[in-house]
Amino acid sequence: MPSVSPGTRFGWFFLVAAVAGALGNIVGGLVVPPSSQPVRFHSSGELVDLVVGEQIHVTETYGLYAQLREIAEGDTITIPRRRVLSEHVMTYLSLLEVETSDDLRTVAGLERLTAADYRNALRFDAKFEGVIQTRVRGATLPYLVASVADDPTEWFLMLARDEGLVVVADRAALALLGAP
Amino acid sequence: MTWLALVGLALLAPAWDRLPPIGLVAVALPTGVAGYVLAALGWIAVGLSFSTVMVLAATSGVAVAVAATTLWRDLRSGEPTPTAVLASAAVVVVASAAGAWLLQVVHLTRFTSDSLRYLLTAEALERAGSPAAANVYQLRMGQLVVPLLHAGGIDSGAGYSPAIIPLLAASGVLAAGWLAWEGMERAGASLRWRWWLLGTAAALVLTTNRVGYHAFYVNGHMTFAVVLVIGVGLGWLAVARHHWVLLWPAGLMFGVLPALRPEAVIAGALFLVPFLVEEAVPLRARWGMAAPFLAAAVVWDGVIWPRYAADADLALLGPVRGNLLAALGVAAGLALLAAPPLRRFARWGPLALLGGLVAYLAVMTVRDPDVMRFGLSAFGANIAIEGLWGLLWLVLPMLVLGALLVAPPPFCRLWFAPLGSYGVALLAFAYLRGGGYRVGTGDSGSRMLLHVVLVAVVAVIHSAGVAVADAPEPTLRSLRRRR
Repeated sequence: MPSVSPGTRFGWFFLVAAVAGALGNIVGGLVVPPSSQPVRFHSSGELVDLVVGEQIHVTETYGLYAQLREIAEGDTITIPRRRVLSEHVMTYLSLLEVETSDDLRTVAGLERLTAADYRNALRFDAKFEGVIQTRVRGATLPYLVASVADDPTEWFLMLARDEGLVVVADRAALALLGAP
Repeated sequence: MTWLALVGLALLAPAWDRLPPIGLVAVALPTGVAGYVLAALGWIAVGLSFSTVMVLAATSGVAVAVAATTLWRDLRSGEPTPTAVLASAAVVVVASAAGAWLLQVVHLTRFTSDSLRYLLTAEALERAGSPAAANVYQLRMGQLVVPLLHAGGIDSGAGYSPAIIPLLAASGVLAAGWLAWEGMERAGASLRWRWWLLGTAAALVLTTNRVGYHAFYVNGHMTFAVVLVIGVGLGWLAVARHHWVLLWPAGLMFGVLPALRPEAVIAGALFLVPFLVEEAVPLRARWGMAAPFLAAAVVWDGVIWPRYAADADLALLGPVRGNLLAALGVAAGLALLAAPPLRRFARWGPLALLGGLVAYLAVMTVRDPDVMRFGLSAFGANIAIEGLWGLLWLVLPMLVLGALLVAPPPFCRLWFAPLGSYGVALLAFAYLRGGGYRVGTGDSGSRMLLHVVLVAVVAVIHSAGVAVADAPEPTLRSLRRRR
């Protein structure tokens, strides 16, 4: 049996690893299990469970994001799998009605945390400062957005409280916020 | 987009006869983007009111001057202008116009809240004519290059430039493929091996969720990956062939980095410095390669950004002056190489950079171990599953390790050494940015992995090319025989 050089072995290893990786990527992308958790929307101070796969009918659009996503009134949207939720939540926030700050304060948990508490706890000083600067400079955000199911530690609480908006989060995120 | 690509082709004029048609096509748009970004930085720095049209006109003027000078020189010396340039121009026009049209019609763009903040800065830039109206925080985190790329689309129906990132991504993938092929060809790999290695590597990269996502995502990560692989690749070609003129477009690529992301001066320096200490490269050519990077860093971090930065950012080692000092450090190091007794220390430059990062990381880890702990944990989770990288970051490190052990390619120090340093730098950036990494696709640490994907893939393909130079053809029959 002829001996095989290390170079040849590496060449074959390269081919096999790359093909296996590509197949893994394809299969993995197809079989990502949908989240069993419902996506929860706080709207008008009420909890609304929207289950993955459920369809919502768009009655109103708001903000730049809906415009950029080319989503219009009359469209029907399916609540996505959790893995792709972060990309889509802003769409829903844009679509759902935007609450006033007063209404938002009725959402459980939000008033209990101060920006400083949150900042110290979560080490996202810069992002909070950024939001504050945005407000001080009088700029208007074109979107009144909270955030994402897989990213509950972001700056959205601040925006939520100060700008007044619908908060979107899954159960884990809501628990982090202290919501019931 | 088509215009930018043609501008890039004109800027490449000094290197026309050194690049094959596929190289010209692949590098044209990124070169045009680099020229436009550098012109915009200069434009804003001198206090002119920014307007995409005006800056593009100025860039075009420079490009025409560069091309005319080259043509005039060729005419006088009797050298024919490479006809490949005309064919490349035709391909560039058709491909970029078709791509731009397709991306207008089919909505493939991906947005997150970060994207919208970039577009806010772009809008402020285009409307007010300067970054003054932009949010200070966003200017720090988002910098200026991504807003510059989209400013021209603010008044279009879309409100941004849907085609710029996807077309840059296509250019980057094409350039990576071409550069990988060049390396395998130089190594003596057979045609069949070349196709197999390139095809399987392309399959691995292009099936990765995050690679596809970032190709349509309004953010700066794909731009970083593209300019980095072209910058390093053209630099490698220049060194391998002693075609120093290729350092000109390579340097332009590095010139995009300083205003692209907050950490990009340090990250860019990791990949640039190995070329600046390369003994074979004439000192003047090294300055030529470094000039766009240094100029962009000085203009952005030394002139433009300080005008608008928050006081806290202006600390000596803060994001503004810290970046400026890093760039000046690179320039000082290069200047010192003019002294012959110091040249023998040059090769230690990349190692010194790595040593500095490791020392910084060690000190910061002792002071605040939580950031490191959370960072490593988040990296692990993101690479394995949560970052949606699929199997890419499980396969690629194995290939890099195998390549280094079995078949380190010539000039491996230009490709692999900075990759190692970048790994350490990613952890250091967690401290520099003032907070740790986290689990999820939106994590900066996870997204910054994209920056080096193309460089790493080209590097391991080069290695594989060396490894299989004397190997039997890769056929199923030979596989069975091996068993």
